[in-house]
Amino acid sequence: MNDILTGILSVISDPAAILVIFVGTFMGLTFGTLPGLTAIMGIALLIPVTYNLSPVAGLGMLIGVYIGGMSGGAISAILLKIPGTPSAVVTTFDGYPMAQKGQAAKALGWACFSSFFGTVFSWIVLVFLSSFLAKVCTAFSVYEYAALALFGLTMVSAISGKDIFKAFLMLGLGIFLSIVGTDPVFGMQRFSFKNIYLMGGFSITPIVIGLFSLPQILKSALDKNEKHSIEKVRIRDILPKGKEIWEHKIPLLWTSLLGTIVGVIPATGQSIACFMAYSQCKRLSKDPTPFGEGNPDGIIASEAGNNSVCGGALVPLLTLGIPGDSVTAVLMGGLMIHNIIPGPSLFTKNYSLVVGIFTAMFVGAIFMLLINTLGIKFFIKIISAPNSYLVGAIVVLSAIGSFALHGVMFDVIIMLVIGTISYFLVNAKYPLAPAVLGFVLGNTFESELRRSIRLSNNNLLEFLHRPIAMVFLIVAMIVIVFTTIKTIKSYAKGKNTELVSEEE
Amino acid sequence: MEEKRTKVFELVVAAFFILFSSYMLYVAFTSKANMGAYAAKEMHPFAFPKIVLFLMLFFAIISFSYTLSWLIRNKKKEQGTQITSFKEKLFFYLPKKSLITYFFILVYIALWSVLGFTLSTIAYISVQTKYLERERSMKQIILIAIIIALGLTVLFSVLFRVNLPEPIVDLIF
Repeated sequence: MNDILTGILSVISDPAAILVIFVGTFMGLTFGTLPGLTAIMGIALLIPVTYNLSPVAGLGMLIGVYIGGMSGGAISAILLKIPGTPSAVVTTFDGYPMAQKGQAAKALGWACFSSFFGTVFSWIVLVFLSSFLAKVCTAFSVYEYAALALFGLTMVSAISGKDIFKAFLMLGLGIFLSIVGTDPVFGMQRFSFKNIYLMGGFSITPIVIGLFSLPQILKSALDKNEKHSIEKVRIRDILPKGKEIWEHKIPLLWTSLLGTIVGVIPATGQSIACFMAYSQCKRLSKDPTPFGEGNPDGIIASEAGNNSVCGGALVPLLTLGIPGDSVTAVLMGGLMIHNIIPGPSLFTKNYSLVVGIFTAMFVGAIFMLLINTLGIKFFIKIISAPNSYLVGAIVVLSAIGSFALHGVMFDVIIMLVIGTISYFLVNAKYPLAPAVLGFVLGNTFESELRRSIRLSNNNLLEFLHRPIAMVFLIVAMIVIVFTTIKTIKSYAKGKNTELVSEEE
Repeated sequence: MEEKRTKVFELVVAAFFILFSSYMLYVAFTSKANMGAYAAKEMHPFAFPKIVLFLMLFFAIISFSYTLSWLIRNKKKEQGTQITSFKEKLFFYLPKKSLITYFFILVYIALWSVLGFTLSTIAYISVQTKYLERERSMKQIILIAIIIALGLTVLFSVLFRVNLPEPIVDLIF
C-alpha cells in the first residue's frame, strides 16, 4: 500500500513532473499532427532531456509524447485528408468526409474522445491485468505471428471500397514495397538495384505521405479560393455528449479491447490495430451512415484502436522487457538511461516506480484530452485558410516530413514518385489504404512464414498444433472465402446490369 | 465523360501494373540467390516476391481486359461528344492547374540542394500562391511566404533538430 501511495504522490505532488508530462503530451500531439514527424522521433529527441529529471517525471514525459503522438495524427487526417501518422490512415476514411460536410469539430471531438477512451481502457488493463497478459505474450511464436499477419492482410476486404480486385492490386504493391531491400533470412539484396538507399528498404513515412498528400494537393489546386465558413463551436459542444457516447458504446469498447490485445502482442503496433478495429467496427456499427462517408464509428474505430495500443504495448515492455511496438522499443532507451531494467523484478523490487509510471500515463491521457479539446477551435481554422496558401504549406510540410526521418533527399524523391503514381491511382478510383496495410504487414508475414517453415523442417502441418495460430488462420480463410464469393456476385451483377442497359 | 476519364486512368494504371509486375518478375527470375547448404530446407528468397508479383500481374491483366472492353463498347456511344484537339484532351485528363502545380513542386524540390530549404520555400510559396490566386498582392504573398518559411525553419531546424539542407548558409558560415 505504501508503494502505491508513494508512486502516485511522486507524480501528482510534484509540479515539475506534471509540467514535463504536459510538455511531453503537447510535443507528442504536435509531432503526430505534422505528417512525417512521429512519436518515435519525439521520444528520441526528448530522451537526452529526461536525463536530469527524476525517473518517473522523465518516463512520464516520454509516455506523454507516445500518447499525444498517437492521437495527433487524426487532426491532419480529418482536416486535410493527410494522415499525420500511418495509424491515422483509417481516420481519413470517415474523418475527412465529415469535415467536408461542415462537421470538422464533431469529427475532431470524436477523435479526441476515442483516443482518450482507448488510452484509459488500455491503462486499466495495464494496471490490473499486466501479470496475466505477460503470459499471453510468451505464448506467441513465429507460427502465431505468421498467422496474425495473414489475418491482418485479410482485413483488406474491409477497406477495399467497391472493387476488391483494385484493393488486391494495391495490397500486392504494398507488400512488394515492404520486401524491397535486404532479405530477412539470408541477407541478400532484393530489388534494390544496387542503390545504397534501397538496401535498407523503403521507409513508411515517404510512402504514406506520397500516397495521400500529393493527389490531395493536386486536387486542392483546382479548388476555388472561396472562404470556407467555419462552424461556430462552443468548447462544451466539442466532445460527444453522454447519450452519444452510450449509443456508440459497443464500437468504443470493442475496438479499445482489440487495440489493447494487439498492443500486448510484441512487435505489432498501431497500424495493425487500427485496420483490424475498423474492419470489426463495420460489422458492429448501428449508425446508418455508410462507412467511408462520414460515419463517426469509423473515427472511433481508428482512434480508440490505435491509442489503446499504448497501454497494451507497455505490458510486455514493463513485465518482460520486450517492446510491444516500435515506439516502446525507443522508450526502452529512456528506461535504460534511468537505470531501470524492465522485467519481472521491476514489479517486485521497485513497485512504487511502476505505480508512478501508471499514474504518469493517466495524467498524460487527461492532458491529451484537455489540449485536444481546447485546441479544436484553433485547429478547425486551418480549413478556413485560403486554398492558395494551404496548397503551398502542405507541399512544404510533406517535403519536410519525408526528409526529416533520415535526412536524405532520396526519401523526398520517393515521396514524389509514389505521389505521382498515387495521383493516377486516385483518378482511377483505386483505394490507397490497402497499400499501407500491405506495406505494414507484408515483410512481417514473409519473414515469420519463412522462419516457421525452417523451424518446422518444411512441415507446415505444424500450424495445426498451434491453437492460437489456427484461430487466426481459420478466420482469415473464412474472410477470404466470403470476400471471393461477394466479389464474384458483384461482378456478375454488374455484368448483368451492363448487358441489360445495352439491350435497352 | 467523367466515367470515361476514370476508365482511361484505370487502363493506364492497369498497363503500369502489367509492365511493373512483368519487369520485377524478370528481375526476380534472373537474380541469383546463393543459399548454399540451406537450398533444400529453406524457402527461396525470391519465392514470396514471385507469388505476389504473379498475383499482381493476374489482377492487372483482368483489370486491363475489363477496362479495355468497356472503352471499346462505349466508344460508339460517345462519338458525338469527343474532344478532338490534343491540348483539350490533355487538359481534360490532366487539368492545367494540377500539371503546373506539379511542375512547381518538382522545381521546388530540385531547388533545395541549390538555394537551400528556406530560400526555396519562400520562392515556392510565393510563386504557387500567386499562380492560384492572381488577385492577391505580391508584397503580401512574399511577406507571408517569408513568415511561413522562417517559422518552419525555426521549428524544424532549431527545435526538432532536423538537418534541413542550407548550402548557402553552409558556404557563408
